[in-house]
Amino acid sequence: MRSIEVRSLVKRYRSVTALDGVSLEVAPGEIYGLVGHNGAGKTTLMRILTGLIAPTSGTAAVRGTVGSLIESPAFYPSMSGLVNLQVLCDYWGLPQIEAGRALEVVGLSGRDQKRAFRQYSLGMKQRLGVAAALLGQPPIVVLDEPTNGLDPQSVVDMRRVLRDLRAAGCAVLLSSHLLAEVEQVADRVGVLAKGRLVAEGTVGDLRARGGAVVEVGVNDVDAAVAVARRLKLVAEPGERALRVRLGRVPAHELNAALVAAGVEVALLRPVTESLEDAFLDIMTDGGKAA
Amino acid sequence: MTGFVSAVRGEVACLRHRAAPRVSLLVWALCLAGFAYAVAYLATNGSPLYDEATRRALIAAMLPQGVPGYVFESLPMYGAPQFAILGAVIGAADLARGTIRTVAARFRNRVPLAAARAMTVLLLGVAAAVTSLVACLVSSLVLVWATGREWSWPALGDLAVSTLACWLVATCFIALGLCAGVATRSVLAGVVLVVSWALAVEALLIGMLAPSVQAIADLRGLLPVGATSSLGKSLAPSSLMLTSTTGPWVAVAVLVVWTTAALAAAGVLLSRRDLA
Repeated sequence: MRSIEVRSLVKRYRSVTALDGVSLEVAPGEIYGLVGHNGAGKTTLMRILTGLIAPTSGTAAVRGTVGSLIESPAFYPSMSGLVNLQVLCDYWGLPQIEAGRALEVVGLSGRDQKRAFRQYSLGMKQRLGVAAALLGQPPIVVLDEPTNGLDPQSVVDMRRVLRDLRAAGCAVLLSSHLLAEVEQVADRVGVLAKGRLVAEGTVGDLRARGGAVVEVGVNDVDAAVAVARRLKLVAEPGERALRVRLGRVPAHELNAALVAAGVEVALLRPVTESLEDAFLDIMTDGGKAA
Repeated sequence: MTGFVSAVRGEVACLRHRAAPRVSLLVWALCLAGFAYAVAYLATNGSPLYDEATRRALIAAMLPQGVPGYVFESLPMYGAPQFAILGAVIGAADLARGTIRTVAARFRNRVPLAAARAMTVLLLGVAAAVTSLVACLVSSLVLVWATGREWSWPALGDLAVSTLACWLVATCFIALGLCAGVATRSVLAGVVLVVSWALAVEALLIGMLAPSVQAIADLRGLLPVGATSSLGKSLAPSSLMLTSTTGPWVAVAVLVVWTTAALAAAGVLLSRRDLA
């Protein structure tokens, strides 16, 4: 049984299509990372999941309460962080003790809890927003850029919070511009471009999508690039080496072609791509197509 | 039902911690004490426009025994915009600030939340009515203390009827303000809209044209400010400020219809519109 099931979701604002047939699923105990440029449709999808906006067509089913932080956290500026959460507990029919518990989980405790929200730093506001999402320990959590404005230590803490949620069987849908963050915590990643889900899979799947990448050390970079292009491979020249995306061509075949063309190969090693590299490749290919 | 009860609890907790209702009602109480009593007494007492009998009757209305009727003197012109502003602030601030998104994110069905907000308006109406009556009563006692005039307590029945009528008027204008605030999603736009309507259109424009155009005079009784004035006139027949265009029960019905329509419209907007 999936916690989140999105089927053929479409959202149109007059002439603008914010979501165009998006389908995805998130299981209990899974962290699903949503990446994409600004305006790709990430926030729109999250708003639909929380019922803040209605889809034009398609379905977005959630099984259980959804705790969420969408866009910048909005709270009553004159109330303290603690009182803001206590008021939310009242609205949502939760015991007020939940407020203190959630604040401790995100590391907002002691004096910080009692300061007025308007005096909070960006990072504190963000942590309060995450605390609100965690109130009552909902089985589904939707977080839009949860690490926005956090200092490095808080980012590490947030990673721990996300992993704890996964361990507790919570389904987490998170979006982030920090792809390294998504890479570290997400079990699966979806790439949104212009409202369409152009790629989806594990971080490993996405990295491997365009084939392995090798770094080739050569004596003549220009000649090596020409050989790679003759094999219809994408080559990125450097000073004394080039990076080549192999696609379906095996590495030994590239090596043989280089040697046959009189290029001395001093080094040939696989390069581990980051999610960011994979994302940029997908956006170059799929993003244009979408 | 659980959603509605908890939403009401949340709305009440929220109002308890927000400054807007307290500030608005405090300003209203000070306006009553300052203008409806202090300034009005000085103007009446020293005015050469009134003969002695009229002056005595006007001042008697300001004493504790006259409070059930006198509280209505200021409602059509000053109370209505004041309450409508409070409603606009309550209705629009959440939408403008985005806090409604935080709250509504856990209401898959927003009808209980919208119903709870309507309930809040009814409760704010109670607070406004009690504030009005208490401010008038305290001000009248201060007047007695300062002038040494003879006085008596108002009849409890009159006070109860006046409180109910005051609640209906306050609730109606808070509801209209709430509707304007929710519709415009802007505190400023909501306030401008309701103040323009209550002051510029109803009180001034229609009020000035009604004596010369019969159709407008008839229409006036069906509008909230006109109905408030009619209801007030029935409770304070000797008032020079209030005019009656309909009977008290018609005025009550008009205020109920406007309140219901405003709350229903605000509820539909709040529960069905995208909260982007």
